[in-house]
Amino acid sequence: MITKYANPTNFEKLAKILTPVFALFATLLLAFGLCDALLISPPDYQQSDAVRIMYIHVPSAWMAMMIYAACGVAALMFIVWKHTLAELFLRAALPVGAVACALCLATGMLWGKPMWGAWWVWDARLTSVLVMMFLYIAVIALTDAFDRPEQGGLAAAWLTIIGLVNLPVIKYSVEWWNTLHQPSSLTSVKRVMNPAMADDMLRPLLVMGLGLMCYLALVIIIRMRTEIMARKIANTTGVK
Amino acid sequence: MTDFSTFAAMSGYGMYVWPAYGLALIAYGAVFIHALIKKDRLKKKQQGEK
Repeated sequence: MITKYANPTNFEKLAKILTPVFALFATLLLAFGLCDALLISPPDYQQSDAVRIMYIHVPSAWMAMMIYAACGVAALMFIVWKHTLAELFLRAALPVGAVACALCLATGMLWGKPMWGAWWVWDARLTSVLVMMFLYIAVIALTDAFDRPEQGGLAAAWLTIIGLVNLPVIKYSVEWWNTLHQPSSLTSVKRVMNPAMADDMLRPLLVMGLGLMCYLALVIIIRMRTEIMARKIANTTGVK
Repeated sequence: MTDFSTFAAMSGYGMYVWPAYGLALIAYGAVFIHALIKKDRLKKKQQGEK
């Protein structure tokens, strides 16, 4: 199945179906999620209304990591099978992931100042996410650093794979080290079945997470289709 | 009106909550608009060549 959709023409067919689906779900989920996050969900008993920053901070963090992981898979496929579509995905998804990562850091700072009393601390979680930010920037820079685009794609793919090491470090940083950043309320081993969060806060968080996922998937698909179109033009006219 | 100002104040955390939402809106909005502009430009270029 993977090889079937690794063909740009088949991808084009699939993308035509997925574009309106993601657009619809993104609109509905984000509209409801925003109302829920800002109006319906209750203020936290300790953090009061500052907790509302969570509904963009945490989904941004999820997406930054998920997009990086997807880029890792695409990078591997590109190196092993030379799938053009994998390279297209890398080029389309990396800047989107970088934006999510930057927002995770920025909203985290805006949350850290009132709650911890500091915009930034060199805590294991914050530092490892900053490393991911630098990885995103370095990989994006590499994609355009060569005269021949294929070479840039290959170099970027290798660095993406090396950077995958950082993902478990981010995930488990809050458990391996004593950090200021709180541990996950949802996915630590003890809490999967029994999340340490009230339902009326969990609901907007998950809705915003899913909504952002559909939204960014939509953006990545549009970017991939543009890139496919650009390469078709380049192939027929012979210039890039 | 007081309802709105209480909402905007966010129990005194408004100066942190609103910039967070504002930044997200700008940045996530920008990636979408950028993707559309890029696509649009290419389409125009393609039509120009025909």
